Amino acid sequence: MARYIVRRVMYMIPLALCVTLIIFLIMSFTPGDPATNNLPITTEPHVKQAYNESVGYTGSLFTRYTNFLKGLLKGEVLSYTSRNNVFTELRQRFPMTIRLGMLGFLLSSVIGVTIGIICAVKQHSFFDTATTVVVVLFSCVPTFFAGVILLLLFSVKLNIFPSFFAVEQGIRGLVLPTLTTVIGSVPTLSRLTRSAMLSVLEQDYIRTARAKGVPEKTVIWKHALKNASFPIIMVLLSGFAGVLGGSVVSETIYSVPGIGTYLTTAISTKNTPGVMLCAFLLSLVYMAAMLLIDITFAIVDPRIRARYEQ
Amino acid sequence: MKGKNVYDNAKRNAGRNTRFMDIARRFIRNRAAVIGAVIFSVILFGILFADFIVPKEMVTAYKVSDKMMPPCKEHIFGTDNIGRDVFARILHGSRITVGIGVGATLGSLIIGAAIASCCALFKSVDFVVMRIIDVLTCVPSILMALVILAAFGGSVPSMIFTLTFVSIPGFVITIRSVLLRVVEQDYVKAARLSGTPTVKLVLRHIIPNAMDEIIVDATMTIAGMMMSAAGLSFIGMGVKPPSPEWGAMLNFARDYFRTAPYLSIIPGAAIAITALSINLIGDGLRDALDPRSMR
Repeated sequence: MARYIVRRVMYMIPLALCVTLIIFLIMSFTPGDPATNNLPITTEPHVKQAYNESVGYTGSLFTRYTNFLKGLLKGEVLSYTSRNNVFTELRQRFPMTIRLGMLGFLLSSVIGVTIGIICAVKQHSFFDTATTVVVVLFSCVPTFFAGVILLLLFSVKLNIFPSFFAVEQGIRGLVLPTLTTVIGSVPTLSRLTRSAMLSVLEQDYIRTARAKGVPEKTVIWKHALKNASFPIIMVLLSGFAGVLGGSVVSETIYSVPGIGTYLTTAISTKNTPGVMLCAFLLSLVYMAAMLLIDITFAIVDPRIRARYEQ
Repeated sequence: MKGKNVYDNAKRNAGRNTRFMDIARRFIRNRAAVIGAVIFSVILFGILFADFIVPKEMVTAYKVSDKMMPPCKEHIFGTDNIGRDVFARILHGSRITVGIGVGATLGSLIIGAAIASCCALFKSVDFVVMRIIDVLTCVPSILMALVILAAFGGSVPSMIFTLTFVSIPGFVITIRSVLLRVVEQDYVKAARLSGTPTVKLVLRHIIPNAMDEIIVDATMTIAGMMMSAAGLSFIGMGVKPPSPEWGAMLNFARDYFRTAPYLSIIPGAAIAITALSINLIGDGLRDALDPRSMR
């Protein structure tokens, strides 16, 4: 098992580098450079060239990419726009996105999975039908529109929560962005959990357990839930990836100084190293989450553990 | 004689017709699906006959004296900051938003199905493609979309291209898993052994048998694509504001949402209702095509 984990961790680095290479190539093979994108249109060509050189946008494709790799090793990737170290620029932003993302993710997993399980256990009940209708309705509301509606309701009409994010506001500023993420991901999570749980409840061993007189509570908690945890965790994994993506939108709505807003500006100002570093870190987070889930599976399920130990 | 002919035809078409009729009957019995179909036909009518309902000039025609009028008799959806009629913009914008959704879904469906078929048939291709997909799934799709959009600009074709590119991996994964199940079937093995050319094998034997699941998946994707397209325009990276694309309209309305909330609510509701109708149709189709999945 330990060997397997080490191998997986080793595999993560080249994969993340591939990701940066893809981003780098797409951003390099398209017109525009830092000077064209950031200086006024009327700027003289030689001024532009001097600007590009001053920010480090020089040399061939190959040298620019190796410069990035060297910077990555030294922990000092320089931005094309501010000449600051991207690592320091991200140091305040990354925790912000992770905190918001994790808060949204945890809340929506708890709510989504609970709703899904209750719906599956009480299939065809009033609760099930009602939540299914609500879930279908909410799954069609785009996250950004939900965010706008929340803003209208809670900050314009009722004036309870601030309409933009500021660190000094503490927990109050986090409410609306988190709520936006939750509204965006609970419908999918609960729908997928419900169908995962339902397909477990159809299994023969559940019927057997019921037939031999096991109390319904034990059937649900011990027999069904334990077997449904595998697909439910898979559902949560896909939800985690979605939260990372959704944060870009909710950060834009509430002007949260996180990775999402950094990315959109970095992309439009042709700050290639900034984008690459973000992509590198985000893909590492994603892969680490995947690995964590695989390890959880191995701990929960002896069959999987046996496969790794061969 | 005539009667006999009808009888023969009926007999000849029996196999095909009963399946189609069965599906149609199950679909019609599903109340939610019918509601979805009705709403979507209204939207489709609007998309097809937009020019006859409101002339295209109305999208850009402005009258500053009529600016910021809330919904009233003359302008049922009101007017925006320079007095353009919001109804005309929503109506003509539907072509852009729904068009991007349908275009990107078709594009990624066809390319994804082609790649997935190669994967299901050839082990070596499968290995290479799956490694590439391993890499691509690590990039948050929104990041990928933003980078490509920045590269090609926010026009409608580049939106379709971006969304197609971003969703190909997902389509390949789902279609591949369906196809792998079909490829294992005896009739495919038999066709293969009797020397059917590969292209014919895929088009005649494999794809038709995997079609049901693919159609349902694609229908649901249209709504998702539409929402992603609108989301990208909303954060200002997709189609840009003068265009009546719904996400772009919402982005533009953000500056006025304190004074004129209807400017935000109307395009948002348009997106939500369209997505809802498409998803209801998709749900109904799934239940109609595969009664076992009904829950």
